[in-house]
Amino acid sequence: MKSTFSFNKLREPLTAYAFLFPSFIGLVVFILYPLVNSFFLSFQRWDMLSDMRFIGLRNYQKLFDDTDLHKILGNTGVYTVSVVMITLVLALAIAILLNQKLRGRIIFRTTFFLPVVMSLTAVSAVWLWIYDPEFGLANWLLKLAGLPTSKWMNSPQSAMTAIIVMMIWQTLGYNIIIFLAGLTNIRRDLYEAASLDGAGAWATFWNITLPLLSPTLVFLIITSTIQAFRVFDPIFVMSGGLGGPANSTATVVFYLYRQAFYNLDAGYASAIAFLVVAIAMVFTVLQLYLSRRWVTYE
Amino acid sequence: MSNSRPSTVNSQQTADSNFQLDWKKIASYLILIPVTILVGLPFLWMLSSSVKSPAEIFIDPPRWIPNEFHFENFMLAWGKAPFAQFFFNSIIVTLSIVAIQLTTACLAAYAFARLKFPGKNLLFLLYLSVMMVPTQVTLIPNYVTLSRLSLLNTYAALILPFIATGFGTFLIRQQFLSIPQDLGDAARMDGAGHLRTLWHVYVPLARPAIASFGLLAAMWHWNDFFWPLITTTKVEMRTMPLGLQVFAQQEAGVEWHLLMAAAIFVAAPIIILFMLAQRQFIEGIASAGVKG
Repeated sequence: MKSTFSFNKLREPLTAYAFLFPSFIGLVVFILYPLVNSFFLSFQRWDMLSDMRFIGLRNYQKLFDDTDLHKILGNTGVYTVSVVMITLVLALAIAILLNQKLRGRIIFRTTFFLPVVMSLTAVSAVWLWIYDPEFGLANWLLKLAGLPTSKWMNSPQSAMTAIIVMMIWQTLGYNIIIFLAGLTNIRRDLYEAASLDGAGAWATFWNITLPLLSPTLVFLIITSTIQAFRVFDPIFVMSGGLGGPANSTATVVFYLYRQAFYNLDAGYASAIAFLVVAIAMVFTVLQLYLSRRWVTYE
Repeated sequence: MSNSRPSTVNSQQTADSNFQLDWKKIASYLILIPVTILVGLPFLWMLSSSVKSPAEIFIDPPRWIPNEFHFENFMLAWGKAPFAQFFFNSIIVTLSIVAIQLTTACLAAYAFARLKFPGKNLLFLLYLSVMMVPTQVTLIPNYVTLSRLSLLNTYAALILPFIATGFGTFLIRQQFLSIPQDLGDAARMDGAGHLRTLWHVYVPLARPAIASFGLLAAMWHWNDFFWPLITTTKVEMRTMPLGLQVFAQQEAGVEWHLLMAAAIFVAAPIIILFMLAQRQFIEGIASAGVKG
């Protein structure tokens, strides 16, 4: 009698643990353990084959001394700021235009969103051809507009710009969708009130739309920045795995990959990984701070 | 305040704003149509190039509608690299990951939504926080683990690291919480165990969230380039995106028409899926926000 009673009491927790077991194993083996292990590796010199050697903070010291890394962090910063800022402004403008009853709204929305679901490898392959200096779409458009043509991926001066333009095209639709979701949450009667008070479109945008959209805006700035900072696929594919002419398109995660799998320096690569995490954390803290200061809730 | 104004003024204003609205709409079309065409051009460029002859590819200015349609380019590209094998690999890997993630996430979501057990809050916090661990940090140890188990160049290497999903668990748990508890209790009164209740009551009722997450997971893992790049070195283990990258770099050369054809069949499955289930995709994306 007594044993049945305690069994029933234990039954629910045991069921819960059994249900959690498969995902828990996955998290521990492939996320938690690697996280801890990676931290440990960042204090070692190790080529992933022979014995490792403890070298203290030397990998972290190298982060400060490595001029290649500093150049690459600069590239990554330029890429991140350009892609995030330009995409945000364009997406907000388009989302505001799309946030009304229009014919063919579905066609607009689908066209903007298609690049988002497309494999970045396929996107990069298509844009490599778009950027062909002689027969590509990009230079054809520039010539049509009467502008000077560019060597795009073939020159260190323009290679990063080429990737930035491509990634603005690719991420635009995602930003539009998130903005549209934010815009539909703004109450209609606020706009009606503003129009009754004689507010013009510009005043309405600055006084109603933008403040009430600020949670969406902060969310998008932070998540897009963290995402853009970790860019890898297009960097790899567009440069054939080389990082562009004179390292001009190499980014920090690309550099991490090269350190681990070409230079076989797992320790230094792990230190770079934690640098990436630290930068992402700075942005997350910034988000908390900004959302407290800026964000207007209704 | 404005609601209290006399209705005559209101109707006057409405008529006014209706007139203005038309101009606003015309201006919107004048901006949106060219911008949409510009955004659509790379797709048209890809489609148009994929059916051109090698000679017509290299014409300046480009001819958007080719003189002859060379649909055999798709067969040619498909045969130039083992794309049939890559396609098969991608299908196996994507379907396995989606099926496994849906199973582990539904089980965990049910535990978090409906069961009482010690350590629940702490465990939930753990599931949430792993969402924020970037793949770059886990990269090297996971590579080493799989290499020590001699699993590199196997399907296991491509699938195992993704058996658990913090994001999927969270999304499905939210949906489970919105299901009235009475429904599950009624099933339990009829003698159904938790597993049966989950399968017969919760899963059918949470179908929208489950479908959204399944589609997103399919997209992410079909399109994944980074992990196959690291864990496979053998040609026969490549997935579609990796196969395409190597094709672009080595086999295609300057045969842009074949590369465009190949890009189309790499991207097509997810684009078709998106066309069929646009609403679920967009709702999933809008609710997802964070990923990476």
